[in-house]
Amino acid sequence: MEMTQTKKEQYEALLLEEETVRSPLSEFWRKFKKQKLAFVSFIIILFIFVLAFIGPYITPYDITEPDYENVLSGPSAKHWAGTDAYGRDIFSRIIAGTQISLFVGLTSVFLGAVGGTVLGLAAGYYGGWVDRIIMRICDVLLAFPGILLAIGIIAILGPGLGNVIIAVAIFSIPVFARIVRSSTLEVKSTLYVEATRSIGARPSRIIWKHIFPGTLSSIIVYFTMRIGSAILTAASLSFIGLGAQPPSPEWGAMLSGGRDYLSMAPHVTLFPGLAIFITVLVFNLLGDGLRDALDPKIKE
Amino acid sequence: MSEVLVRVENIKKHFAGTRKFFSREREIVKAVDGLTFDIIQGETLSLVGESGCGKSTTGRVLLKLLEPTEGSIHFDDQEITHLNENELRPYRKEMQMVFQDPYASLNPRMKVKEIIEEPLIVHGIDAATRKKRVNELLETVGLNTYHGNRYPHEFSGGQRQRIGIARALAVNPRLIIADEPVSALDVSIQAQILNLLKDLQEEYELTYLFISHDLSVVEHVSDRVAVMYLGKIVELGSKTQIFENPLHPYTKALLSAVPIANPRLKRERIVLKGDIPNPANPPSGCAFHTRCPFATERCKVEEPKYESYGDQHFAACHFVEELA
Amino acid sequence: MVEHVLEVNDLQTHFYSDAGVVRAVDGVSFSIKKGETLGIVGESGSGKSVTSLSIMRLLRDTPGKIAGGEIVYNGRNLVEAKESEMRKIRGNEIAMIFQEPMTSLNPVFKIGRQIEEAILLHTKCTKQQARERAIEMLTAVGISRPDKVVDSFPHQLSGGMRQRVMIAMAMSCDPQLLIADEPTTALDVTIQAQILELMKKLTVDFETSILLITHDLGVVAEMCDRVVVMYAGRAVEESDVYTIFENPKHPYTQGLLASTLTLGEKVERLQSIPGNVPIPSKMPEGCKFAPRCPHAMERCWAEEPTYDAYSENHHVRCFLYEEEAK
Repeated sequence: MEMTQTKKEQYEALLLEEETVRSPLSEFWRKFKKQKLAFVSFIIILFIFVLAFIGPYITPYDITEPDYENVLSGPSAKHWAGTDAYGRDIFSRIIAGTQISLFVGLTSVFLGAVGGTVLGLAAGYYGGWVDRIIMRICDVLLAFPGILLAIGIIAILGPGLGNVIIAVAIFSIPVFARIVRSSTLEVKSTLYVEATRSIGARPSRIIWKHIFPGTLSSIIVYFTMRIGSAILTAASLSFIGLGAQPPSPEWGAMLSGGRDYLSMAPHVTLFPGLAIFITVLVFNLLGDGLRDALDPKIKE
Repeated sequence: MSEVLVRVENIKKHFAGTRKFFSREREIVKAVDGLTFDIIQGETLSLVGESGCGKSTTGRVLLKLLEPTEGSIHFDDQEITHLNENELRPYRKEMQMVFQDPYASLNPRMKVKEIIEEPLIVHGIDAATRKKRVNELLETVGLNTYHGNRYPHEFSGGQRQRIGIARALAVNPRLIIADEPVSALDVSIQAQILNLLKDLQEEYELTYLFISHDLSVVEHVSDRVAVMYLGKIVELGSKTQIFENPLHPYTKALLSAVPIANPRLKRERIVLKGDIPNPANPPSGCAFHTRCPFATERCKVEEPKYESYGDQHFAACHFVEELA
Repeated sequence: MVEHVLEVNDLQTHFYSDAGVVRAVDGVSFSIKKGETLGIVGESGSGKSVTSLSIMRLLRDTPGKIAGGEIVYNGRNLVEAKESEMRKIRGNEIAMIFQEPMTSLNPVFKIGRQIEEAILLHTKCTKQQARERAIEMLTAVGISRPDKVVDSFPHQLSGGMRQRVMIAMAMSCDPQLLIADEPTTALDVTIQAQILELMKKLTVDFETSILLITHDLGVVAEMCDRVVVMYAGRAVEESDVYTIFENPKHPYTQGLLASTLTLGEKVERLQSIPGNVPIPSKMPEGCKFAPRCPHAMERCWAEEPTYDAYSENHHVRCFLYEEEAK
């Protein structure tokens, strides 16, 4: 009798055993950790962020002071990435420039995401003419190649890094508006949103408590992926002289500064180019990994 | 005297379908096409029918989740047909819904306690009372209070339906519209949920509008039954009238089509020919004439009237007396 | 000696994942005679569908594997058959129809072409003959204008029609065994009645054996000669349909029958089986039904009962009947 009681009790205890609550966040983390490449990218991005914060304080050389004795010298033990036309240490400038590229990428995409999300939610939830007007404007904006649109905006606002941010933000808006609208439509038609309507919830509650969290995962994925292309666009604009102006250590501006010496001193363009390449790549890889971990449609 | 809680008069819900190619005309789907019925305080009225008959649409129109195209809805003698969302809010407290799919009707990103709490927040109940009430509700529907901290995906279908029921009960409604509440559940779990619904009805004096395609379930839960076919009620009566003395040939066919869990029973079955017609393009006259074994020329042209055949038993068929 | 078309002995199908092994099917045995309809009843998670997929050896795209037991079809053990041999058997000797006929038909091809393809694959005949056969089969399953239906696309047909097409396709090569996995669950009652009538007619006309997988005891009562009841991956009871309904032995079968609503039967309060089906990670150690069983004894928690013959045609997996079984 003793024995059996324990067997039964054991089972009942097993049933009652508080399993660790599997919240959406912990589920995400569990899946994300399996994405090796994205996880590595995530670590690299963390490192880039640290560099962005402390970069200007840890550069081995002064980044603006010219050193005419060491003009265009190749990579060496002293200057890991060589020096540029003014003899400045390229490695130091890349480290210092991290801040700029990351700031431009993050703020422009953030502004674009906020604008696009609000417009997308409005278009998706209210439908009708609100939807039609918003989406037609987005269609027009999307019809321009991104860089051309940005050049146009800069042409109106004038060159400068601040205006680059605005330009990139503006052409990110329709992209976010579109994806937020489509996931809004999807979430809006779910039974749980109908259930929320049936209890008498106001539209504001439905949008912010139910629909917005439902679209968040696609926003995050897109956000990550857009950062890469925003950094690239900002660098391109700087390269053609519309963004950051010399002597700023912005990566695109550094490329631009090195283009005259491409044949005799390729390292002047190679290393900033590499910095852009790696940063864009890791953001895109992270975006891919996030999508696989967040998107409920792609199950394990 | 029994008191009418909901009075529905001639409600219609038409949907604009896809536009025909090269034409300005749109196809009109008459999902609900002129329903009139009362729901009496404390009873269970069932709407039964096959897919496309408009039973779920009717439930949603009653709750004003869909705007009726025509007709009127009275709740407790107040007309609510044309109220806007703000004016409707006090009535939303009185009528709640339990949904068919316990997987899709709960927000996967919210904890169970947040889901059950939501109607209380919407109707302005203070935080301390809400917390107490949520725990109370969890116990009422047979869950434990610690379940509140979990997410819906950690529960089985039956448990999720209990959560859905708790949410519906939260604001003490008088009417619950249950849309196929057990059809997604296993038999042994179905029985648990049906018993729970019955207990709750007694305890809280609830009125149910029970929407189902399953006649065995309907027979078990209902006081009165309305049989629907292609957007219309073809027969309405007490449970006994519908199940023991059906008047409409469709009701008879429906009853005889249900497989019965008794291998010795050999029945003469009325097997209807053909398919349920497309509601966008319903047959002329009596909509059932294409499948009715007794249809005549008259049925093809003339729509039968929905008439009383005594003792609150209604049917819409030209030949009720002849077929009896 | 009765000839068995199919004999399944102690089938084990396990699913492997990072989280561990799930024994979806863990001890299922039954056999089907020629022309017989055998029903497998069980609730979700009982392993009934996995059983049918195992017989068809359709587990290749899943993490599932047959881990033990035998599936003997006409004297041949399918567990050991090569994929190429299985391709010859599938659709030809053993055919299958599924719950959702839409997903099992290719939406971009005409109905006729899909049936013809199945015929051409397994029989030596010309395209013209295949087409004639397709029309003949569509007529046999009660489609009123077969010459028109062969040239329509799946989406142009209703659910009931599509299920008829699936049956026509399944029957086109005269299979010895038809596996029907919840064939009427997605259909309306009046359409279900049509399909059930059709399947009954086919067993008589073609002498096909049917393995009918369903959760609906009404459908079982109407269609089956014998019934296997499954719970948590195991066969818990098997007998002829009358015995199962009138003299069920296993407490689960009894509970299932008691909680089933039957038209015309008035019950004030439904009996229900308390609790839920155990989840794979929290399987009880002994009898899998013990936690929900009103008769659970001390033993039931500690060891699992074997699947014994209670009488000649009645198997039960329960300690209550151990004495009688011997």
